[in-house]
Amino acid sequence: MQQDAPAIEIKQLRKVFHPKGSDPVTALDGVTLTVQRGEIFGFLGRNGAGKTTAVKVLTNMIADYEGECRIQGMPTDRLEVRRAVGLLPEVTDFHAWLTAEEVLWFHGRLHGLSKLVLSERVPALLARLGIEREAWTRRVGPFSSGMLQRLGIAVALVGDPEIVFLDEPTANLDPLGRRDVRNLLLELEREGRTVFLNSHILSDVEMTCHRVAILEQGRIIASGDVTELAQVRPYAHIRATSVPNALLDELRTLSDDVAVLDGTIVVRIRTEDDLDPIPSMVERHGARLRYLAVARESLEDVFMRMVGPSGAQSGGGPQ
Amino acid sequence: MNAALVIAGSCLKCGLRSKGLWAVIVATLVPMLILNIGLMLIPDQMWELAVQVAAGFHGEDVQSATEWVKETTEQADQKRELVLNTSVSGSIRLIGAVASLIAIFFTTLTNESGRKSLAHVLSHPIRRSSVVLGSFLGTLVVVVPCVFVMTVFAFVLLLIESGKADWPFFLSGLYLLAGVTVTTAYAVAFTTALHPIIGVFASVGYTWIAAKTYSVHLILQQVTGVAEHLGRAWLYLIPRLGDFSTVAIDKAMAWSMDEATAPPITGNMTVGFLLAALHVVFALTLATVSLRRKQV
Repeated sequence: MQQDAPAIEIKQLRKVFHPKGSDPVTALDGVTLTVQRGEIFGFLGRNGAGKTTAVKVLTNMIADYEGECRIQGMPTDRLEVRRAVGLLPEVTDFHAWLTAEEVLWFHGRLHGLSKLVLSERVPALLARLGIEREAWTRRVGPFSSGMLQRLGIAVALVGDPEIVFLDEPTANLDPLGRRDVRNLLLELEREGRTVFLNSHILSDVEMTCHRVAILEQGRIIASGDVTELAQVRPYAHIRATSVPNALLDELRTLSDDVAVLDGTIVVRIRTEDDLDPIPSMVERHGARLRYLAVARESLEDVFMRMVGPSGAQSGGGPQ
Repeated sequence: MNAALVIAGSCLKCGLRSKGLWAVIVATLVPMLILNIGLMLIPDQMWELAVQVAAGFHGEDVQSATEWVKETTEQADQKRELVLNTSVSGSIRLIGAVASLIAIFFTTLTNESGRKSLAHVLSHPIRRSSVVLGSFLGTLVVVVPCVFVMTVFAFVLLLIESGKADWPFFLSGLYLLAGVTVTTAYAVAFTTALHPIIGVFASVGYTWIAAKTYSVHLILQQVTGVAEHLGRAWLYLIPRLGDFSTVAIDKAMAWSMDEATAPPITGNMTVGFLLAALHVVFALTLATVSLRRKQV
């Protein structure tokens, strides 16, 4: 392993599937990104955008692709790379005949861990993931999807990996479970691990990730710091005693994007300095200002702006 | 190798904890019991029917078998010997068939490549060949005790029936295991390369063909041209599972068999074993290549 290399490095990654009887499908098309060591990186995109394919390439599930992928400076097909990696796949299943403890022992032994190490690590991980003690010795076949998800995360961590790939880790969890996983992600960050997080639940990503990339139709359409992405274009929210059309017309001199939603005028502004003339504009048109504030975009707003509800990219974001 | 043993260990746990597997074994013992007790209790008046049942187990023509037995079993001790031989061959055929089916279905159940657990398994620092080898060994460690349990049961029944211990009967179990090993290797290959359900049908079909290798060889030999060459090659292209079953019966009935009455085998059994080993290696290599190409 190269000590100074980034945790994950992808250059011009392209993967085309050739399903029998139908046209080729380009799952990834020239994806380039770098994830630094110790950061939580969010990988966002709608269903079928190519997120899971990217994780499969990075964890060596898919071997034939174009481009270059490296984990800590090494090709992904090296066994030593897989020693440093833990994975929670999007769809997972366990041997239904094994107990929760045995599942972790099974995966720990596959990871090459000794019985001595596992005898300490297995109970610690089960407790850390909030799996009740009485469930440790029960067979996993009848486990709920939430319990299986927690067990899956425990399996991803059993090898004490430096890099953890989590594909929809909160998908089957209730709000309490989601909070536990978010706390776990922050713990992993404090421990210095790198987390590559695929998720649809944007609020979870916003609360945990440093940087994100948004994938659409196999291409990265936006990437960067979460707070920077959300601050690209703030909104001014204005409430006044009346909303004359002349006021709206004058506000349109500030911005092309002016709308009235439930009596609130929403104006997309470039900077907070654009707020300064608004009180005088309102008074000039015979209304009184009741409320004026700047609203930042949430990650969900950014995602919807980038990807759009219909699937077409509706706005240009930072590349 | 360590990873393969870990996977095999999980398969063994599956076998030990599977109620379905134990139900199959018990379900196998019942017809064996019925066969043996039924043969012991057959009155002279029902002998003809018994012969027809026996011929059915031997896979022979019922009418000619009936006539042949009528001529050769006029004396009581000869009848007795035929009953014992039928009991032995029936039990061995039953054990061989059930063990093969257990191997195929158990492989389908536990083969990682057909399960959603494969991604988790392959995320660890292991080679894909270890997954294949683990599934193969895992099925074998389950099938071996199954064959042993069924063989002991049949041995005890014969001991009660004949009043003497037929120790070579255990040797026949080893021959059956050689055949089941080949079946398991191909089951791993088919269930890895194909959809698991299609893999089951392919495995059952291939095992049936391999059990009839000699018959197909004879049919092809009677035809001239390309088929004649194919008939010769056939014996090397397809594992000779039928021979293992035949030799198993031969060994088990050693007390009564002579060369004239022993069922035919395809050729030298050393070559047969060598070919079986090559087929196992080929099938496991095929499975490994298929798993490498598989999109997880």
